[in-house]
Amino acid sequence: MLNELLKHTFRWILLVLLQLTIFNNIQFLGILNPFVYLFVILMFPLGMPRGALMLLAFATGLTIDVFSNTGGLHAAACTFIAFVRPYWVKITIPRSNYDELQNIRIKDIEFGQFLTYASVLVFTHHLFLYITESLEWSETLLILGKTFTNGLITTAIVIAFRYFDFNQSRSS
Amino acid sequence: MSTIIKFLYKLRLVFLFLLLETAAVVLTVSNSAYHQAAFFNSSNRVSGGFYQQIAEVRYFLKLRSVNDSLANENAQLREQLSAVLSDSSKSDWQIADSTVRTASYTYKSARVINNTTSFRNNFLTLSKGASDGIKPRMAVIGQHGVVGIVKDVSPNFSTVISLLNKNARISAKHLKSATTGTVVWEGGNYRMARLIEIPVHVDLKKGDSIVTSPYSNIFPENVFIGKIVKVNKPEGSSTYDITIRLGTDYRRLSFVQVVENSLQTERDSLESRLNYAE
Repeated sequence: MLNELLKHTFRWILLVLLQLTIFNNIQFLGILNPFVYLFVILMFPLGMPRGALMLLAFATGLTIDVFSNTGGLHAAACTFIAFVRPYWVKITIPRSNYDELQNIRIKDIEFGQFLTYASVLVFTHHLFLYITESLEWSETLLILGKTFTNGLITTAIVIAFRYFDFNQSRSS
Repeated sequence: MSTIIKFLYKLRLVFLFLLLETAAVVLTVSNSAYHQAAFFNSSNRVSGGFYQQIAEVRYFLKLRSVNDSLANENAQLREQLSAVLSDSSKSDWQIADSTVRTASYTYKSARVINNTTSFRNNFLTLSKGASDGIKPRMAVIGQHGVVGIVKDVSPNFSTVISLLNKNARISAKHLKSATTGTVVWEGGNYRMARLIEIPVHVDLKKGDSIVTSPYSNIFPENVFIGKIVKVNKPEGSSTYDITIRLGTDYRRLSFVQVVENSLQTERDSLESRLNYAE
């Protein structure tokens, strides 16, 4: 248990640092900016109480906000995906896959399930973020374009991260 | 009564959700309001110090190109200096007179330690702050022209609203015809911006220079902003829709000059008596 907690803490610190030092600085063509820190929120345990999940997601988003001068944009988007995540988990990951204690870990999920689970939450987060950032109808195309390109790249990186993550005791 | 409480208890997660979203919205709004001394931005000590560390590394890696650009600038300045010194037609009284009558600007150089270009509203963080004499509403210009306007200062850092920001509207002038307009940025490409409010009777060409206008109380006049790349004349409109290529490449910015206008407060307070919104 303590071991799990340490892993989550370490992953959190590492990804937030990666986001702030590397991924916020890519800015290719003024558009590209994948938000890979979402991996942390995706990897929070499935059985986590929903309130705690939202609070942690909010804190994660706020940390990114403080360092990138965006007020509360990331906090809002992260809270939103934390709010919808449990519903989405119920749909994408069949009940029979996890036991009553719900102590399944994300890394025990199959690739296909993880892809659907992660990509939809990533795209939702990006769309929410870019809409609240702009709030202009006239920028609809730009918003959709940014959501699409960054969503694709973030999803790809998140999938890759899943294989670099602590992977002792992989059961599959 | 107990059913109501049960019902509300069931909805507790929704309430928590709404509470957190409200907090986020409040933070966003208070951050974007011009001038509000927001605590949660990169001029606060922790994040400022953090970016200083990253900037140290990045600065070291860029030393060669920084050196080149400084050397170039040096050469340019020396050229201008020799032109001024050899101009014997200027006598002492002219110089003395001009310092009394026009706004006088002092320049402070500062290092850019954080900088974004991919958001809708972009900011920069500089390595100098209040203790170096930086104040809000000072102009920030780079080697290739306008960069932005100082927003907040802490003792050792300051944040700058980049021209790549919804809140930055810079009064500009078409250099050849001296017609004034406004430069705005509408997101997307960080090298391009739009120039609006130039009436259609003005003769414009691709490649014409756009500089800061004499109306600005922040920027000195004739600081380069960009060059025209596309001129559109919308049907039935009395103004052009112009795309300009910005002189400043925000991705390569490492040194900037912060400009203080010593007559800014005087003019601001005089103009505020006119009682119109800026």
